[in-house]
Amino acid sequence: MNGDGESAAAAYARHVNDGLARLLSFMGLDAAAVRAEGCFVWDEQGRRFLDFLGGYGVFSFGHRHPRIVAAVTAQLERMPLSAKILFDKPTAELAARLADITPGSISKFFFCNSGTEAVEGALKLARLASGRSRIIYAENSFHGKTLGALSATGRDKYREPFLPLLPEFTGVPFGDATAMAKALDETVAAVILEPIQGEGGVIVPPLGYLAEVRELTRQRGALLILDEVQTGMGRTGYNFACEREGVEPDFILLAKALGGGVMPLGAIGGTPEVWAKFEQNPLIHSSTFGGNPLACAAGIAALDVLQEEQLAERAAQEGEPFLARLRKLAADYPDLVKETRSSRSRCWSHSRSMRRK
Amino acid sequence: MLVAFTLNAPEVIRFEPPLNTPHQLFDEVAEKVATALAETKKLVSEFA
Repeated sequence: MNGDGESAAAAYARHVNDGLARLLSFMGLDAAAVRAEGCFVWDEQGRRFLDFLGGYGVFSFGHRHPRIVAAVTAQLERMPLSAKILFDKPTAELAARLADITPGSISKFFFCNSGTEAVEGALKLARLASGRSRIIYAENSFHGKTLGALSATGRDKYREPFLPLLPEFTGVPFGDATAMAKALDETVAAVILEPIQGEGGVIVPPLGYLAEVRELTRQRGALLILDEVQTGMGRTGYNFACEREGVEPDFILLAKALGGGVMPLGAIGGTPEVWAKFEQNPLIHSSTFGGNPLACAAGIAALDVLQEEQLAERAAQEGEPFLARLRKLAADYPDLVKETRSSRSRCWSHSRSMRRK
Repeated sequence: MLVAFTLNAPEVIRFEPPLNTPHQLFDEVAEKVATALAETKKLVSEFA
């Protein structure tokens, strides 16, 4: 890797994070990736890995989809980053394209570089729009590891080393509309939820839960932020998972697959109503690299691929037979597989119990 | 080698393939999972 011939694993251990290096080595994944295409990644020894991890939702279109690579390459030749002195056409086009396909009256977009940045921005804009401060989040949720996003993340193992987190964040059980109703009062700025909890183990809430939360937030004057960073862009058989219940949030958060598996890209989508105070003071929240033309070119091409290859529909169709096979295996090995969960299409998990009889 | 896991929840095997994954790869993955479960069951019974 370096002038001394040090391997990537050794360099990670010495200069990046030894704990991470040991974890990957323990799992037998201590080689360096050198190439990727479609569903496959190759290491420096030429070994091929079938990538069903998918970057936790980044590679919904596979690695290096040719159409997305071509769009990024062309933009790279023209202008990769914003000069910040004129409008950027790819940014404008991506916002308009997203406005066409996102639910309800969401028609305004702020671009950033990651999901956790989208969460941070949405929490700020929700407080700005509502004039309120409290945030309600779901237990077992995952919204990111920066301080604001972590404050809305319901996983103790990530929270506890960094306590105290931001004040006025309240956790409620996921999927429990009664608990949500109890927690929601006139001090709440916003409820933030994943339509399906991803990092928490692919937890699908009862049908009707999101719609009920939507109604409750409307009744109590709170905003609804849906974090579709993992579930969006066709992942669950819909363009966005909230379409399953016809729910129209005030904010929708996108990242991961939005960049087409080629560029980092995140977005906050909002309705004109929640955007109004931001538009009165447009520099109150900004990002140096957010919405750069290179990433937005990737995003536009990703939307082209999503729509023209009908990937949401394909996910729904292809997912069911695979899920049926996994469920059969779960039935065949009840001592090893505790449960198989799915979101109708391609968010599967396979919980296992290693207990002995 | 099939890679399907999540570092954040080691008890969960999580399948997140690309949405344009060829159909035959799902069969291949299902076979690999079946083989892994069979081998694990054998190991568990040997050390029980």
